[in-house]
Amino acid sequence: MSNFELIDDYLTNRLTESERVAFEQQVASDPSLKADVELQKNILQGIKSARAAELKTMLNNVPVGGSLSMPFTGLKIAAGVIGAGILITSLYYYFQPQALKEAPNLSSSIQDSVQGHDSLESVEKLIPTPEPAQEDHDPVVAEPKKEKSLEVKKENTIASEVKKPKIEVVDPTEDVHAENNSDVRSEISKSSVTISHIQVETDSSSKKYNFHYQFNNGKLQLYGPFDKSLYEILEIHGDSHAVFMFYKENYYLLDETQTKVTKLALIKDSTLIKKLNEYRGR
Amino acid sequence: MAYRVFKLKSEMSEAEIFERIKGGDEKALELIYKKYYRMMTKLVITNSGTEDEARDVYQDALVVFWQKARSGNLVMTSKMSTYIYSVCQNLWRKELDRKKRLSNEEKDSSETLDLDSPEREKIIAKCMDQLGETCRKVLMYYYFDEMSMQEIADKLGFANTDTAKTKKYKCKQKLDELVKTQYSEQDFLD
Repeated sequence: MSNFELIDDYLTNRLTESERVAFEQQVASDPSLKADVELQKNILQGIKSARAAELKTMLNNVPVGGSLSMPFTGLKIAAGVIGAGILITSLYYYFQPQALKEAPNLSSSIQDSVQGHDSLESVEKLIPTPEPAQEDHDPVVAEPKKEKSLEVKKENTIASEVKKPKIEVVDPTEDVHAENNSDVRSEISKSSVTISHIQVETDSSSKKYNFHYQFNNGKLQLYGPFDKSLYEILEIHGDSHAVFMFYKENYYLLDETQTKVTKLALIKDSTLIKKLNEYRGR
Repeated sequence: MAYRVFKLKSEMSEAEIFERIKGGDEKALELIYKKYYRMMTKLVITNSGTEDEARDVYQDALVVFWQKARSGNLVMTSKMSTYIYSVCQNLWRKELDRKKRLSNEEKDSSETLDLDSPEREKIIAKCMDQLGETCRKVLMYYYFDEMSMQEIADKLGFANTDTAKTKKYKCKQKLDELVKTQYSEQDFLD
């Protein structure tokens, strides 16, 4: 056994009685070994203190209700912060029988009438996030295909007119034809995860509000060190609507009716956390 | 609110919560924290403590409770709250003694206490912060929670106990090096 392991086992009470006695004798007669043991003792104490501090920080973030206005002390950004970034997600779930009925209808309508604008509209109805949805689906469903068929028939006559746009337009159509339609379908029937329409702003300058939020005209304002690490906004659409934030392995409830600056409330309900984990994993 | 949709009425039993804490479920600790918050802080507040002191003592007591439970050194013969309450009492008594000593002795005598060690503690804390998250966790789980290599591997998603062992060894080496470097810089500055 090396000295490193011996010292470690000694300090963590992992030596047998006879080993311990022998080691202590060795320490008594070897000043440099003694110094090593002292150093290791300090280091282990440091590791334990770090863990104790971490647990206390965790407890400090537990809302205990009542009058206690506790400041969030020591919300330290751990060394392993992934880097600044924002991830906003919107989830749609289909527990409700209605929605379950709707989903297959939608997909079949897309399948049947690929060019139709009807299907595009129903896609938008389901996903109230106009900008990204349109960007994704426009090329999938609309014009290009018509142009292609036209072009095939009247290749010679309108060749000169169509040629230029054709190069740009036709290529995506072919891909779209083969794959993207099914992508659209599967995306929707799998409880779509799209980009949330909630706008988020962060503010880390306030001393008073260091782990708080508020909704302001549909805009979410986060107060705290959120610019320093990754957080995720989860929007759940079902028969009711709820917004959650995922931050440092914890979920927090964001009450959309809350226009005052409010402390972020940690979610501790294990069933809910499991559900949220499921959604987030999608 | 969808929140209500998922919310289940699940009152865990004492034994179940204790088992979870033993198994390292931090959520169970949070549950306890919330459950006894009033009761434990009241103990300090009614004994000439402030709200901040009360919270601090209660949290320290729970950390003690956690570590004892995790390392298997605690067998519950009474209710958890009884145990935690007694830890709170002890900690608060110690703190009161410390305060009394500080006010009896003059400030100069308190300064004769070892100045070196808090400085060095800070250095180690700083070095811990410099380690990666995985390293920090491995070391904390091993030395504080006294988890087995198997538990560490499970918790951190390592392939097997050998990986956990190697990680622990390497992370400890890294921390030792950091601390030694910082210590010698400190000595140099003194």
